[in-house]
Amino acid sequence: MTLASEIKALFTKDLKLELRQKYAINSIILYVVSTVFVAYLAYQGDIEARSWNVLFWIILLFAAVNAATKSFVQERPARHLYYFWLSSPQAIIMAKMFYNMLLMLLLAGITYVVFLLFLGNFIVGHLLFLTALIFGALGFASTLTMVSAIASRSDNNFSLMAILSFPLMLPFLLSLIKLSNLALSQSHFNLLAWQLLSIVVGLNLIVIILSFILFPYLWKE
Amino acid sequence: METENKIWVVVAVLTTILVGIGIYLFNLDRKLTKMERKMKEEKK
Amino acid sequence: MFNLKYILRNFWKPLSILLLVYAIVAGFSISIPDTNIGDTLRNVFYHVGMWFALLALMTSSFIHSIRYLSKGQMIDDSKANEGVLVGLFFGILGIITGMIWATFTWGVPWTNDPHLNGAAVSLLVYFAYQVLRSAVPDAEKKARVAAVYNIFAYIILLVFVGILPRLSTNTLHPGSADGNPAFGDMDAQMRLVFYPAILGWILLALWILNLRNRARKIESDLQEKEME
Repeated sequence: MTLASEIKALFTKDLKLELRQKYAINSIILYVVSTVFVAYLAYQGDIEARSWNVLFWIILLFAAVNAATKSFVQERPARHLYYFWLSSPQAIIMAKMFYNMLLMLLLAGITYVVFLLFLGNFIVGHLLFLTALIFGALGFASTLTMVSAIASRSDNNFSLMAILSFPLMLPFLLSLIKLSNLALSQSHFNLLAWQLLSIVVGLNLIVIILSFILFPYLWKE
Repeated sequence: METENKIWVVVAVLTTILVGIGIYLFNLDRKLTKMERKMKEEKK
Repeated sequence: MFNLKYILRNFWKPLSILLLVYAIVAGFSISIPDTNIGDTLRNVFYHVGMWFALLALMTSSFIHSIRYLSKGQMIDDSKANEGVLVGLFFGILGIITGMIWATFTWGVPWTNDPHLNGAAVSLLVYFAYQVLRSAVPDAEKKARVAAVYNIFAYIILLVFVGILPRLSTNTLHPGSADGNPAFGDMDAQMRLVFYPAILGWILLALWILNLRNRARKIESDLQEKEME
């Protein structure tokens, strides 16, 4: 099998499993709606733009970490062994990464809609905000997939997932918060917006390339 | 400036500390070299 | 002992002390530009050196992690780990000296400055590296997983030290305008002290790393002998 067909097979396997169980999607929707609802009750409609923005990314970050933990950490070792015999490590990490990207895009979309519904609209430049959201979701997905793979190799991998991922996510998160802060006051892409976007996209590319190269070393027993 | 001649006292103290650390590291280095040599001979 | 090979291999060790003595003597005696932070500007010869030492150590650690992954020798993993440990030591010194300096120049030990936050996050990544090491019991698996994470950690360090501070407009650190975060508006005379000082700190850090690596090597050799 070529790499592309292997990736496609693994990707559709994950997708089919998910569509059958609907576990991840439902739990994500529930998580986002309930946290936003708590924020809605707590702020009593009296939220300012800056906190709206920070709250948005923090809720998205935690939802993303929860969702990505599923990809390696929550799978049983027996299944890892099965993958190991079945396909090449590059195909596994790429399939997981693409699947998580899809999941994160969905998650970002849900969070965006729920935020607008409950906490009101503070965004001036929707196009700028959505661009940040899409590239942010892709960055979250690639980084968290790799961290999940790293954490799954250790003993107490649930707590390790948070410790390992947060410092790695911070450059993404800081750039994204700055970027969406811009979107709260303007709609055109200025120099700073392009610079921040290129940091997010560049980091994302680096993470994907490094994961592709380094994952085989993690994978072999 | 009248403070300028007194700053030399601080410079002297700092230099002494630094040279002291240097001598300490140097001795540590020599000790490790000796141990390395011993290990090598024992291996033979 | 005093043959040419030995001297060539070790001359840089005392050189670090020599350079640092020069940095102290010259750093205190030259006249510095008249800025609003007065004599504390001289701190730049010592405080910034901590960060360059950290950068050198983490670079060494990064290289050894790559070497471990390509060659698979445990000695490289141990060297990578020691590099991070010594680097964290210099990083903590850098944070503390920075806080002392900041208390006098900015009035508070910690400000919301991209340099400070970047330094703190970079240290966090390397602390996470240490936590990861302690969480994987099997030695060879630990080495592999740690090496992979170390490569990511180095990328984050470079982003936080090299890219993000240059983008921000609200930094208190000098030199952001011309795009160079470390050496701001130093005159020629200051540079004559600054560069040797930085080199001295880097060499000192590498010397300490060298000693720790050798001690670790002897330790593991002794353990091997006991096993036999």
